[in-house]
Amino acid sequence: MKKKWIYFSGFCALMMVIGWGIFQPSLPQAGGPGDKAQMHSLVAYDYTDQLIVKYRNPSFVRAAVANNNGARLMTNERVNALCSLAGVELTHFRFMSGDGHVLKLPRMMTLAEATAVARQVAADPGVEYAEPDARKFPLTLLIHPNDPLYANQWHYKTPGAPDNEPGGVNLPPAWYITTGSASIVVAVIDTGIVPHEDLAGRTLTGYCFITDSQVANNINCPGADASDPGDWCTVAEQKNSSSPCYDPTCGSSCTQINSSWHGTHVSGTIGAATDNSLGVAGINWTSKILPVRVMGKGGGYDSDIADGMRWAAGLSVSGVTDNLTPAKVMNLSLGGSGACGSTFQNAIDAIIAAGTTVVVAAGNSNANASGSSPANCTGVISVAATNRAGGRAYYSNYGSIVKIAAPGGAQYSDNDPNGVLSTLNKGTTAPLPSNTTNDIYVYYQGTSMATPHVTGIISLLLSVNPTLTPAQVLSRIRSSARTFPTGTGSNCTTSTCGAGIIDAAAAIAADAAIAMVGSPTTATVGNHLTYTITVSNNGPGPADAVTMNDTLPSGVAYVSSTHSQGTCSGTSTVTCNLGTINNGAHATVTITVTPTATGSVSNTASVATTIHDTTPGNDSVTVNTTVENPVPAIHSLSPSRKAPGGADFTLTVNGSNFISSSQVQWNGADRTTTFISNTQLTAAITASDIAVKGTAAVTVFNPPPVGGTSDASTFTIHTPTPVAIGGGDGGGCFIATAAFGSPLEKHVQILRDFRDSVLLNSTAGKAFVQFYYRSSPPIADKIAASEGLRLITRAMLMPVIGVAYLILYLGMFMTTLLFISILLTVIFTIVIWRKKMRKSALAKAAA
Amino acid sequence: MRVFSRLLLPWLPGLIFIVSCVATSNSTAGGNIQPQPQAARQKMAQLIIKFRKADFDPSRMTYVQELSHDAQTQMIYLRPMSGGAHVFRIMDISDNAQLTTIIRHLSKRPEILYVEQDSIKQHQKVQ
Repeated sequence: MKKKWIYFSGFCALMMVIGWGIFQPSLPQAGGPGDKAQMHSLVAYDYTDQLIVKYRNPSFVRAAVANNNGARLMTNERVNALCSLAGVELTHFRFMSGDGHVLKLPRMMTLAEATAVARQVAADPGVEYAEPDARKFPLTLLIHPNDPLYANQWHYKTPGAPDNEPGGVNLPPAWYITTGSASIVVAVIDTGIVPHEDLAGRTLTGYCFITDSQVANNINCPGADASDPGDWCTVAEQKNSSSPCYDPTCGSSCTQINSSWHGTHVSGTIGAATDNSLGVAGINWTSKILPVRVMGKGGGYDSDIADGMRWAAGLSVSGVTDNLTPAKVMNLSLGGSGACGSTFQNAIDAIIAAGTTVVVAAGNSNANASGSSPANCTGVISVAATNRAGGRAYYSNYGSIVKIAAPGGAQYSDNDPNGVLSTLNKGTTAPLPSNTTNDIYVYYQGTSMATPHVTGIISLLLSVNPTLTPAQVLSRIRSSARTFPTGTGSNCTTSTCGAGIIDAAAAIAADAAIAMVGSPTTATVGNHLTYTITVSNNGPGPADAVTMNDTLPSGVAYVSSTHSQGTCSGTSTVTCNLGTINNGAHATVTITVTPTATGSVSNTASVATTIHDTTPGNDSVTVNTTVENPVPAIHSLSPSRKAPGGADFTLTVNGSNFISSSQVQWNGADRTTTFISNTQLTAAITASDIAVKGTAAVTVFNPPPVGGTSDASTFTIHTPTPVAIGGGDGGGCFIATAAFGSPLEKHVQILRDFRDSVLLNSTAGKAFVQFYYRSSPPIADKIAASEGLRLITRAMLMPVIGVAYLILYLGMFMTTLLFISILLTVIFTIVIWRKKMRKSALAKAAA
Repeated sequence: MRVFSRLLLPWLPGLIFIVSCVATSNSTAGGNIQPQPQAARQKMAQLIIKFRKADFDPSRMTYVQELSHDAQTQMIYLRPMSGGAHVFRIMDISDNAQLTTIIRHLSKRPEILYVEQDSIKQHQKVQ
C-alpha cells in the first residue's frame, strides 16, 4: 500500500511538472513590457483560485457530513486522481451545498486558464461537472449611474463582464472607489461653455483669454466670461478674407459651419452631473470644471492659449486677476501643425513645475503626432483616439510621442452611436436658452473626445491621491493601461497609440495584501525562526512604491533577511521598499531571527502603497509562535581525560542547542556552568571529581519548557600510559598534540618520528622520553584549554621541530655540519665587518 | 433723334470719362474708410517675441518702427502676454516664405530671445 502511494505521488508530481510546463507560456509574467500589459488587461473578477467539482455519485460527500475524517481520506484519494488528470496541484478546500466540492488551484488563474483545468478534471468519468469558482462582486462594486443616456456611453464601460465593451475605459469599478473630490479642479482650455441642465452646478466661472474681437465674438472677451457665444462660420465669412473663418477652399458648394459647442461637449465627458436621472454621465461627478475660453471663430491663437493655460494652473498673467482655484489637470482638445514652439514649451514647463498635469489631443490627421502642436511638446500627455472595438480610430494621429489612448469614437454617419456621447446646445449659431428642448446630447468623434477621458480619469486618480506629480500621474496611467485588443481591423500598438487604453479602475486603485508564515511553528531558543512574508497585489491596478514594515518583537534577535525585489534594511525594524507590484503578482521577504527566551512571540508585519488601497483590512498580519528550550547535544569535551589526583580544572563542552540557562552536569550533579555560546559551555570541575581512576558521565541540561538532558559524554580519569620504548606505536606527544590539536598533525608526526628514530636510540634519549611522559600531561591539559597557550607553544616548538626535521632527513652528521657552517659563516662575517669598521675609524682619526 | 445725336454724341466720350473718374474717385474714398487692421486676414499674421531683458519695453513707437524696418513691413504692437513675451501683428504678408524671412531677420536682433509665429490652433473634433 505504502509503495503504491509512493508511485502515485511520483506520478502526480510528474504530471504537475508537465502541467506547469504546458500552462507556463500562457501565464502573464512580470518583466516583459508586453506581458505586463497583458496582466493589466484583466481585472480582479477575471481571476479565480478555485474550482467547483461535482461527482456523479455524491454518497461520500454525505458520509463526510457524518464522519468528516473518513470522508476526507476518501476525498484526498479522489482529488489526487483529479490532480493527475488536471496536471496541476489541486487541494480539497471544502464541501459545499448540492453535494459539490470546492478545490483550490495552486495559484490565482485567469478564468480561461481555470476553465482549461476544469475541462481536464471533467474528463474523470466519475465527475458530473467541473467549473471555475468564478468570483462575483456585489453590484455595489460596479457603479452604474442612473443617467438615462449612460446606457449609450459605451466609452465608459467595462471591457470585460458585465459590459463587454472592449474600447471602454472601465469606469464602473472605479466609481466604486471614487467619484471625484471637491478639492480637485479640472480646467477645460477650449471654446468656453454654454449653460446646460446636465452641467448645472458643475462649473466654475472661468475666463475668456481671446484678444481678437472677431475670433472672440463676444464683447466681454478678454474677461471673466467663459461663456461660449458660438463659433459658427457663415458661407460669407468663409469667403471673406478678413474673417477669422476665411477658408480659401470654400467654393460654390461651401455650407455654413454650425457652432461646435466643443468646450461644452468636452466638459460633459469630464464632469457632466451624474446619477441625477438626467442625460449622460460624466467621468468625475464631484470635482469642478474650470472653463477657460481660448478658441472662438476659426480657432485660437497660441498666445491666448498659452495665457489661458498658465492662468488655469494658478500662474500669473499680466492684467488678469489670479485664478484662486488652480487646476490640478487641464484638458487641451486642440492642436495645429508645426513644431512645439518656445511659447508652448515654456508655458508647459512652468505649469508642470506648478504641479498641474497637461493632457493634449494627438490630432486628427491620421499622421504622425510629432507634427502636431502642442501634442508634441515635452511633458504633456498626448492622447490618441480608439474606436469602439479598441482599435485606432481612422482619423487619429499616432507615433512614439503618443502616451496613451482613449475612446474618441469612429463615426460613419451623423450622430452615429459609435461616437462619444456628451452634452451640447441645440443652437446652430448663437446658443439657445438652456431648457429641456435646447439642452441636447450628441455623439462626436475625434482626439478631442478621447482627451477628456484621460483628463477625467486623471482627476479621479488625483482625487484619491492629490500628492501625485504630473510625472507620477503619467507613469501611473501608463503602467495601468490596458493592452490594445487585436482583431479590430486597425489595431493599435504600443509604438502607435501609447502604452494602452486608459483603464480607470486600474489607474486609481490596487489591493496590497500581506501574509506571513513562521517556521517552525514551535521555535526553540537559540535556533532560527524564519518568517516568510508574502506581499501581494489583488489589483485592479499596480501597487506603486510598496513598503513592508516588520518591527521585530522582544524575545528575538535579528539574524538576516532576504527579499525577492527592492531593498530591505534595519534589524530591530525591518523595512523593505519593494517598488511596484503588479496586479496578481507578489514579492517575498524572508526574515530570520533567533528567539532568546521561551514563551510566546508575536510578530506583526504591515504593507503600504502610495496607491489607493481598496482593502485596508488585509494590510497587516500577525503570527504568534511558541518558543521552547531545545534539547542540548554534546559533541566533544576538552579535556576529555585526566590523571587521577589532579587539581581543579575547567571543562570545555562543545555541542549544540546550548542556552544561557544550560547546566553542565558531572555524573548527574550540576557544576558551575558558564554560557559561552549556543555551541560551547565551560564548567568548573573540582579535584575531588577526578580523585580516583574511572569515568564520569558529562551531560548538559536545559530547563523546561521542553528542553531536557543531552546524551552523556564520557570523561576518563586515567593513569598515563607508559611509553612503549621502541616507538612506532603512535604514543602521544602530549604537549605537541595539545598545541597542534591532533596527534596526526604533521608537526606532531615529525616529533614522534624524531622520538622513535633518534631519542629512543640512546640511553639519554630514553630517559628524557620517560621523564617527558611523566611530567607533560598536566602541562598539555593546561595548553589544550587555552587557545593562547596553544599558539605560544606552537611558536616555541617550531625551532625544535625544524631541527628534528633536519636530523631526520639529513642525518645527525650533516645537520651538525650544516650548523657548524652556518656558525662559521656568521663568525667570519662579523670579523670582516669589525675589521672594516676599525679601518674606517683609523682613517677618520688620521684625517 | 437726329437732334439728340447731334447734341450728345460729341459729348459722349467726355461723359464716359467723367463717369469713370467719379467711379474711381468713390472707390478710393471707400478704401480710405476701411481701417488698416481690417485688411485681409489671409495677409495678416501675429508674432510672439520674447526679449532677453524682462523689463524691456517693446511697445515704444520708435522701437516698433525699428522692427517694421527690419521686417520690411508694417508691424503693430498688440499686447504683453504671460511668461514675459509680447504679441505683435504684421499687416501685410504675402506668403509663408515672407513670414519665415521676417522671423529670421528679427531673430538676429540682439535684444530678442526668440520670435515665433502666433499660429492658430483648432479644436480636434472631426467635422
